[in-house]
Amino acid sequence: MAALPRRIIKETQRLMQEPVPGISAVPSETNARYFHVIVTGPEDSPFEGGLFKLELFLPEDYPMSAPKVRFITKIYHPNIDRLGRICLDILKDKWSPALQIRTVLLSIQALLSAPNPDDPLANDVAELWKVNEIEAIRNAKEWTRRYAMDN
Amino acid sequence: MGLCWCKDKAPHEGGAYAPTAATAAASLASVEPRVRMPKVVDSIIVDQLVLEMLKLIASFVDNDEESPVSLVKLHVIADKEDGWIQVVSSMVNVIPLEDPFGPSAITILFDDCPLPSKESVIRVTQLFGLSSDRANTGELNVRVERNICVVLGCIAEKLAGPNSIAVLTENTLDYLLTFLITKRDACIVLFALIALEKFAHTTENKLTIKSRLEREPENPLLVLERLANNEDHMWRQVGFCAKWALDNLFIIDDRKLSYELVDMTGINVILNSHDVSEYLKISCNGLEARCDSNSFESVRCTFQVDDGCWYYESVIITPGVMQIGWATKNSHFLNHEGYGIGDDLYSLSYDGCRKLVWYKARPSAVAEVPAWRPGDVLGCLIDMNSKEVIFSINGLRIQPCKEIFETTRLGFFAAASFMAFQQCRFNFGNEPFKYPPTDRPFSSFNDHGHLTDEQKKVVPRRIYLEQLRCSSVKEDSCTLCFDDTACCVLIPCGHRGFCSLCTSQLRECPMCRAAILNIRKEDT
Repeated sequence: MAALPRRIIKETQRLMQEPVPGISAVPSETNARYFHVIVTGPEDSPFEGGLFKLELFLPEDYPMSAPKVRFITKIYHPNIDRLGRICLDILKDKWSPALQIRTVLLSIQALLSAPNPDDPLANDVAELWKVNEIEAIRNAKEWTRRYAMDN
Repeated sequence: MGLCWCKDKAPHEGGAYAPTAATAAASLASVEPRVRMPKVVDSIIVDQLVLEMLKLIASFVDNDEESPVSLVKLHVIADKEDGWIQVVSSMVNVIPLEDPFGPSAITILFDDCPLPSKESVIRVTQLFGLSSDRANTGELNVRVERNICVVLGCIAEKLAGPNSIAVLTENTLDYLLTFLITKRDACIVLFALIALEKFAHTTENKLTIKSRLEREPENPLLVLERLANNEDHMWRQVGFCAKWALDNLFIIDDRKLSYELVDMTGINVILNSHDVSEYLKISCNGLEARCDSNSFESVRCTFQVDDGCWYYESVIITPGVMQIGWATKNSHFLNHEGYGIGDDLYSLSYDGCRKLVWYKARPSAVAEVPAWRPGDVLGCLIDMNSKEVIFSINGLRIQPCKEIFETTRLGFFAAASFMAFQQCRFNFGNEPFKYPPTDRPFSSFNDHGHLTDEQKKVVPRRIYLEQLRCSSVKEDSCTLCFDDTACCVLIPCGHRGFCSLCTSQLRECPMCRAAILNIRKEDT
């Protein structure tokens, strides 16, 4: 293994010892850079009641570059596309090495509470979110029920 | 390596498969009927698309190229639950046994599809009728069973967690274990074993599988690991994977780990188990490597060469995509992006499956030799006097490559990258070479390398990680890496707590994003 930085070991230990409410992040047994993540849909959002699976991977130059995160569970959200890729500034140009796995996951949880159709990744979803928010939210709830509630 | 689609760009929907893309949007509001199984698309069309995709993978080499249309179409179909089931059935039925891309094509397709629901996955396993009876049938369709095992492995990997436990029913487990016990066909046994390995990523499954294995009169893995040096390339892979599973996953208390038993006498250079991407499996003697994940895994050897002429060989165990050659330490292993040896300025490699020389992630086609097959010997010669690298297959040389010396002069290591399910064995000179160069004097690593007893140990990764976890962090260590002492103050913002190495990689302050104009060192 390209020497695993102590930073990753220590961050992982802290995640295990003091988990973030509503988020579980467990490193793969075979790869300490790969985390199985489950985010609970925030209350009062269309995703409430859902359990969303994500994968998080720490690239070779972490923490100098951002973790790679994607949704594995299908989700109807203007900033998340059909392959689960997330449009979030701190995962791209606004990354800072002082941010951590936990802060990234908190930001993703916040993105579920506050979708931002003006900075879309899933264009059709964002379009509907802008022109007919009620229907978009209905779809989001329906997808949550179908894809995020059966585990 | 040229097999990494859809990672950084959205596939083109609509144009490629207009009818489904249009209905996909329409179906958002209306829930599909879930009891019967409506055909999304004619299954013959899906079969054709799968075969087309398989053919395209072989010729698809540019990482930045658009995804092939057939792959995009398959993704659109698989986007719906019933379509997903159809695509899986097609892959199982039509992917030929002998195609070197077959199993990896299945993983590629799975990787870029949205994840299916637990319900769909269970429906698929029911559709297959998995059971020990099925595995014991007199007339076994090797192709179909092999493909089912590959699919189960992909599902286990993608659904790790509670869903993976739900999929590994008694029947599924019976089905997979029966192959291990009856040893009916090496390629089915291999992929059944890999599927079990992937199910074992979920701890509860691991315990279930382990106890089932131990219930047999003799643990089937102990029988299979004896095949690790088998002459037959398929059984050899089974042996390799069984040994790896026993060392890393299904630990037996009174079995010594392979690295504690292996005789390393006369081996002075090995694959570096601290200079490897995280999923590559390295044999206990450090000379054989294998990848079973859907990333492009890479490794360098322990010995560096800076001048003169050097040669090593690798024996091809699997016929698929591997990029084997030379790399300096500047070459990065971007396994998840699909970049490996030959994909940057600092490495050069040969892929004998597609017959391509790789440099700067650009391939050049080679016409003079046939595609490599299991048992073939790849010769890798680097001559820093005449500034050329020469690859050969079974002694038959291809055109010398000179380009890399324009950017790089020294610091080369033997290095290789592996696609899913690929394996090869290296000879750095501890055995006689099969096809040594005859036109010039050369040296072999093994005659010049030296490793301490400690360095010769290829310790299973879990043990290495355990050792790291036990190490502690000092009070005054850098808040970014936790490794070195924090000694830098950023000017003008004044934030501190970073070491020199981290600071040197920063352009703005990690805390306040202020531009860094200067760095002041504090006395520690």
